[in-house]
Amino acid sequence: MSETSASIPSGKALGGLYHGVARYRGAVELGWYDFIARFRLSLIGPFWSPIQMALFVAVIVLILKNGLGGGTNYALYVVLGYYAWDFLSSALSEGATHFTAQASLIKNTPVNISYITVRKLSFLFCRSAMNAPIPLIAIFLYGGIVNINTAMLLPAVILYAFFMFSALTVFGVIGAYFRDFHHVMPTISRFLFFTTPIIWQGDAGVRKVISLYNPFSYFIELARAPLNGEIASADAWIVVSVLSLGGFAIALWVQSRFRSRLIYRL
Amino acid sequence: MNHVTLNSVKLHLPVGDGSLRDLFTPRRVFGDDSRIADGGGGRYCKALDGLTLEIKAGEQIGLMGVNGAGKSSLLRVLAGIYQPTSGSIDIAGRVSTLFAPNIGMNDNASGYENIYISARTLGMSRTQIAAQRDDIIRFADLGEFINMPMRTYSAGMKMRLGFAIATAIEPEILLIDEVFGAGDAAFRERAKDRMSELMKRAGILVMATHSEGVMRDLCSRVIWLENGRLKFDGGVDEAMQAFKEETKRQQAQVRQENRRAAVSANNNA
Repeated sequence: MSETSASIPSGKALGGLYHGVARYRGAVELGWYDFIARFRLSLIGPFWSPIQMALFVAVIVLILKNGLGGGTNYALYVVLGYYAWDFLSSALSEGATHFTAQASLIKNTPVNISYITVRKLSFLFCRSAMNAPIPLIAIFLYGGIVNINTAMLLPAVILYAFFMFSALTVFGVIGAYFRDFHHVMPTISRFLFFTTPIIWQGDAGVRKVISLYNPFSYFIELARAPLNGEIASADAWIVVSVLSLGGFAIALWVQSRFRSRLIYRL
Repeated sequence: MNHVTLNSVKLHLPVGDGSLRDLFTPRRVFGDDSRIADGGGGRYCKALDGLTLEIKAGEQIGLMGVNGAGKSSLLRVLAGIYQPTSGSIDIAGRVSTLFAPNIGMNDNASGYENIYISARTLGMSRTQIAAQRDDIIRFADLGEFINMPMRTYSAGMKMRLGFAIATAIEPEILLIDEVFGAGDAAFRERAKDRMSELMKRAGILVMATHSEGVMRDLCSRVIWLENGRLKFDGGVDEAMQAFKEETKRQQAQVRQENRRAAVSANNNA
């Protein structure tokens, strides 16, 4: 039996839980610090993130609204969908390097790897919160609806968090074992962006088929619907719940199985 | 009571670079003396090769050995970062590590901010940090520089800040890897005081170092590793004596080899 600072003090289950949660509060705060740190030497710092997003959606809407869009709400559709995608896909694109980027921390301190994942998740939430004015402005400009259904955003975000935790953990371990994965992930991420109904609508023909079988369609729908005062379909709730909670179970398994061996690959 | 016990601990570190190429690396037969071997899980390095140790409360251990002898691997096993491949390990006490001086710190943040970032990364709570901050600042003794970005610090200053934080959490077992090189004499004196506080609480210090001065100042027992095995375990004076003899023997051997090489080169010419 060995006791190190990494282990949660044994004893009463509730006490253990309290210590566990208290430890993760530190991870959440550090995520915020990481976010600030990324922009420390720049002049307008974190504001680059929403500027980047605004420019991207503006160009997409300008170029595609007559071709792909259909309907006057195309701009709102793109902004809300892209906002959700940007948040969700950050876990995919940052997933491959998730653990390799923290090699020095993992090699030099008895840190728990889920602590590192919570820290990254907190970072991604901060980044997304910084981008929040973009969908808010779009809702205001294009007459988006805010009503009681908007509250369903909260469970949707919770499911997102579970999925992103899983993606970071699983892809992080794969990325540490196979460095080719670092180059594969951006490609997959771009592929998914174009095969998910974000800048196009899955209303008919081949587009309908693609959106039906792409699980990310349901993720985007789950966030886009409440942001526009609508209720997401039951299909969306079922698919996303299964993927997020199932993914979380897989992530916990991966974590326990590779925790001690991950370090040799960093 | 704080203690550390290792029983025939072996640590095999995989050598692969983590690319798909690993899967296609052909097997080779290495000699028994070689520290590299091929096994079921691929090629590995025998970082620790059956180490048995007992460290009691209040002991100050200096780890010595040439580069690659297994010092850092042993420290990482003690910290719970590496799991031993075989053998058993029993550690009682709260462990704090100082393996690299500025873990989790941000070069562009000030020393003051970095105290928070680093201490939080090492698992301290907000209240603990608030209570220890003044002490950390006093101990690091950086003067005005505490409010300057860390990129303006010298190596020694960074190390002082890292050391102040690692020892602020009142560890029961403190593990240090080769970071004292950058500290000046005045700092070493203060470090010595802090270590004796640790020892008063019956804490354990395990420190890897190449410096005889640091070893004499801070350690009461020396563990000398060679090729992942225990070569010597005893008092500092005996260890230094043995080490000097060993160095002399090796130097003589190198000289002899050089002479032989020169003679054969002459003969060939």
